Amino acid sequence: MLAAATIALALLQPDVALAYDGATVADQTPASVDVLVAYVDPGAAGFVIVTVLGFVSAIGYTARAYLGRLLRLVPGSGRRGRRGESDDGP
Amino acid sequence: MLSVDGGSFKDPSGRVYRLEESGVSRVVRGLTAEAAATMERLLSEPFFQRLVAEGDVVETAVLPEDDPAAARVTGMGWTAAVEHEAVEFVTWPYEWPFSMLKDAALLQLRLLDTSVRNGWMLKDATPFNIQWMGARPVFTDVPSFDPWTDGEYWRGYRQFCSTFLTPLMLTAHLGIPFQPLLRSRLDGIPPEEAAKYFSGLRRFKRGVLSHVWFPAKAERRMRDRGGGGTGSDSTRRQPRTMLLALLDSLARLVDRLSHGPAGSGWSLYSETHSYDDEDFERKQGFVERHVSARRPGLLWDLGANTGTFSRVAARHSGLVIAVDADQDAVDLLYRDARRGEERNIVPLVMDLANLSPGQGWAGQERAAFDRRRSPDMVLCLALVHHMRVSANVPLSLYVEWLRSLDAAVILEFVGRDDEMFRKLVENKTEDYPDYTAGQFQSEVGRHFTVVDRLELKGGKRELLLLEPKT
Repeated sequence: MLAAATIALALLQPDVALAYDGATVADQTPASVDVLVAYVDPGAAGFVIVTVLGFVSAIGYTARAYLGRLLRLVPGSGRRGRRGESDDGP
Repeated sequence: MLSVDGGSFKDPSGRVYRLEESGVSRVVRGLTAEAAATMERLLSEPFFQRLVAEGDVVETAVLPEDDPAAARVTGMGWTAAVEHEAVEFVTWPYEWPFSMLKDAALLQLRLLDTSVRNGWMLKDATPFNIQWMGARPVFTDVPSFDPWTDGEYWRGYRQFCSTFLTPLMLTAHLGIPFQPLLRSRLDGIPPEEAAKYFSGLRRFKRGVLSHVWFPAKAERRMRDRGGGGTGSDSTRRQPRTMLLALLDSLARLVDRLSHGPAGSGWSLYSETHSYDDEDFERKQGFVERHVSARRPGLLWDLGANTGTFSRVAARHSGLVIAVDADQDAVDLLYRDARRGEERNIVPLVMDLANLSPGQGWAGQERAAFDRRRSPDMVLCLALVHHMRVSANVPLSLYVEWLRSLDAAVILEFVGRDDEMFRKLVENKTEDYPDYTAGQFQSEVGRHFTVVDRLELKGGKRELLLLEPKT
């Protein structure tokens, strides 16, 4: 679900996905910027990326939280322990 | 002697020093006034004390001003000094097998999750901040903990993907070993480059669309437009729930990534070696007798494969560094060490004919494997013929390198009559004329004193205990 929602957002609204506070990136940058590529922080899109992924993750996260509460009401339902170590043993 | 850590210059708020005094090694960090205040606050936090108690974060304490080490560090212009528990042998992520990087990634996510829930953040997300106490990962870069202002977004996401997640996915999804890639790119594999590995239908593998493909597209678009445009730093807000949800999603993804051994030659060593039971026991007895007599603090097992002899040595050593080129064998050894009684083993993946060199700035940021700390003892069992035949390293050079370690060596020489040697050379045109028992003894005699010897397999192999000549 995370993947599907992310792709949908990126494909359908790329400029909105890459813009923030109302204005698109194109509105705020000069037309000729190709020579400046070396000066662009590769992590400049980081905020947008974590916001999109965080938003989509939160939907599933919240759904799982409610599902967990529901399951706890069902007698005999167990929950997984904390993740701490890889368990793919030989 | 006080020496500066070659890899600690990136954070201007502090610097790490190693102090060697009377055979004791101490790790001391000098801090600026601001960093010292943050550190004092962090050390008083119950969540942090819990992380330290559980062994997830290295033990850290503020040094009193009258401590000689603190005086020396503050004399260099730092406001305060803290001491960290010393890691006996530092290792780098490009030397870890899959399961070690995976466990390190899970630790990183768990620490970040706990931090955010308690009003703190981790400034960065690189596996270089994690070291190994035996088979247990421990977070060592304590100044990475920073107070978190509500709504602050996770700046380390890209670094986490480049250095943890993408390498793991390359191995889990495509069977590509990540070690050579991480060794050549200390900052990890950026999204746009990673996306090229996951072309076509591969992009639909678990986690790839979200954490490789989408970031690659976004970065490409951002770069094409000259960057910027996502608001000022103060306006970039991310609700805590979103951040915790992303961390949870990443932890579940990493948890599900797996890479099972494909039955590589060496990962099956313990079942396929060429000894009969009696010889195998004699070999184990020889190793155990001499290691237990010396009780080395640090022992290297070179060519350890799945660690049969590393485990024997670990029972009588402070720490065993078990090295082999076979990722599957080393991964098995790690999982076994993690579960077993001998947890004082750090398994590493490394081509023994191409040991990790000095890396990063001036070649000193990440020290070369054989320039970190000298071993007290070395196991080099049935390895020399591989170095000579497979790697084309002349006997003389290899024995000379062993001598440079300045440690006692238990060495197993595989003679030309041995079926494993014959198998190794069956498709070779070269005759390896220098690889004879006589030549070997001559080379060994130049650098070492033979203290003990044991013939195996009817004289086809020989075990030697060697002491370096002074």
